[in-house]
Amino acid sequence: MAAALVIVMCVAELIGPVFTSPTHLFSGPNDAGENILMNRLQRVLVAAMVGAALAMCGAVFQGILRNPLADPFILGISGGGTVGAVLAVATGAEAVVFGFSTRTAFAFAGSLGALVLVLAFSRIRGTVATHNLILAGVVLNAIFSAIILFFMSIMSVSEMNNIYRWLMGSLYHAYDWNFVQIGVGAAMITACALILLTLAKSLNLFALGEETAVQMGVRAGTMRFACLILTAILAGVAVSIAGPIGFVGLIVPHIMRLIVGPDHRMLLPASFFGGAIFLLIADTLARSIMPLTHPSIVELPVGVVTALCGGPFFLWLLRARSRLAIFGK
Amino acid sequence: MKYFSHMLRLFTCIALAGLVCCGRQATPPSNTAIPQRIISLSPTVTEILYELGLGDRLIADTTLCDYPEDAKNKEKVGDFLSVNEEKIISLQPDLIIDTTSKSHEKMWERMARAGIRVEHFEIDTMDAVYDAYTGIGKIAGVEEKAAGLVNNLKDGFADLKARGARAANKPRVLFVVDYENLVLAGEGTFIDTLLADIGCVNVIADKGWPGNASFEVLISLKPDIIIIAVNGKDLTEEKIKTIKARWTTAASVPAVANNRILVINADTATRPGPRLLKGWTETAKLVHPELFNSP
Repeated sequence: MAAALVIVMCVAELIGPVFTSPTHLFSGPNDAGENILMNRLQRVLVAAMVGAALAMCGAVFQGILRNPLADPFILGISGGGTVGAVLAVATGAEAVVFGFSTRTAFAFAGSLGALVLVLAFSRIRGTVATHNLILAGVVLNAIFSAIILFFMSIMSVSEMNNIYRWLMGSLYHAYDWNFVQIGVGAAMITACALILLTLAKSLNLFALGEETAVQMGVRAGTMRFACLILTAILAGVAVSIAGPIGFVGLIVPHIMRLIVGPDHRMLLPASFFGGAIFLLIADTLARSIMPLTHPSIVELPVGVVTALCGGPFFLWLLRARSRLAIFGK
Repeated sequence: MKYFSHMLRLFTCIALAGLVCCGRQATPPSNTAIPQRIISLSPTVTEILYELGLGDRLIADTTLCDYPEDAKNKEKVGDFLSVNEEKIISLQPDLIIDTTSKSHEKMWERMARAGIRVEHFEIDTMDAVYDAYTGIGKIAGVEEKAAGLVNNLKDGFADLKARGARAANKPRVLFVVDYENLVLAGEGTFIDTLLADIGCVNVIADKGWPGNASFEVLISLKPDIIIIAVNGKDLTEEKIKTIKARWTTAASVPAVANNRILVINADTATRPGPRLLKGWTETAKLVHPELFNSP
């Protein structure tokens, strides 16, 4: 899968609204081809990072909550991130935190804040109850969208345009990141993913039911807490870069489960690479499709592509699999 | 007797209904009277009203109306999205002036039903701006003044165009209306016309105001000059630096390589209205100093 990701990254690097030969990569900063390829490279790397983070989150959430509808957004994490981004724009706070823009930093803080809130509200006698977690997430999401709408209603046109773009989910902001920042983000995502991978075996036991898992020696509370913190960091990084991109976290783990099966030791890495590949393809389409099909310079928001391509593909896979299942496969 | 009381009741009902209807039927607005209490629902209209010397007759405007200074102190009845209809009615205006907008049509109908005269002007091209001057001048009884201002503006723009036509080389220009979302001025916009007038070529062939533009395509277009319009209140040195910094990864673009990224004031250059001439004279001086700096 890692090899597939590298291949897709190379292909994505070659496809764009402007055709550019890869030899331009080394022709110096005053060459248009080099400029285009370097900017595109930034975007390709960020798309892979965000896709991997979102899909990994989705896979872990679906496992730990034992709920097929769970994705990074159900716990209000993306809502919190968006509130953070909206606050940064609305208050016009101009500061740079470790080289990242205020909006990125605010969005990250918002995601973590939302996680703290949702954990606090769903604790019963010291443990976090799954159904409470989902309920608290849904209600927090509703409150967050009310806050977002409030700020949007008092904003100026240009500020609102800004937030609007953010809400649609877009990898447009990848251009604002330099390669050091991309490196830091990638390191964070990889570290979280590796730690989550060590928990894969316990996640498998969780699938049998919490009581069974506890009987088999899984410390359920600690385990759930660790998973939630790590996924919150993953989702926080993803949301702070690209806004709430839908469907990746929900669909990719399901697709991978249909392909590699429910074993989390396979499912987690498959989702990680699958998410990166999926978002890369979607973003390549999003930035190329309009300029290539008719002479326009407008890009599509990647969220439109992930939903329009991912949704039907998932439905088709679901049908194909169930038909196979009838024949005992 | 019973029949009589029934009839009496019926007549009472009819009379009451008639009364109610009469009450609803507001006196039709007389088009001959000169309006004294005007509400403007657009910053352009507000600027034109002040220009025509009607500032004291303007009783309310929108939160976007920030010029001249006095316009900020007027009662606010709306923003760019919505207007507060109850507040408008409570202020008892005799004229509402709006810019043409599909989303406001129903509101105009309700205002007309409340007996308030509504006029709206399409303000998207230079000719439309002149028409708005003439129209508002006619309604407010200051036709001569309006005609004089229109002539001044026309002369000013004719002068710009004449100077622009002398340009030996016409730089290829990218005009950015919203730098965050890369909204650009495309074909058919008044900015496109004015760019041609001051001796420039617009690199954007898309019609209207394309937004979310592909950065890669912009690099490949290789504009000689990038003009970025920024709201007056955001024009700080630090902000200008960040706005320009976004282009540093596009060093192959002549505008970037030759440091020809021009940040201009959006309030004067992109708001179709009286200050457009000032805004574009300044812009023209930045683009072709040799042509526009001489008296």
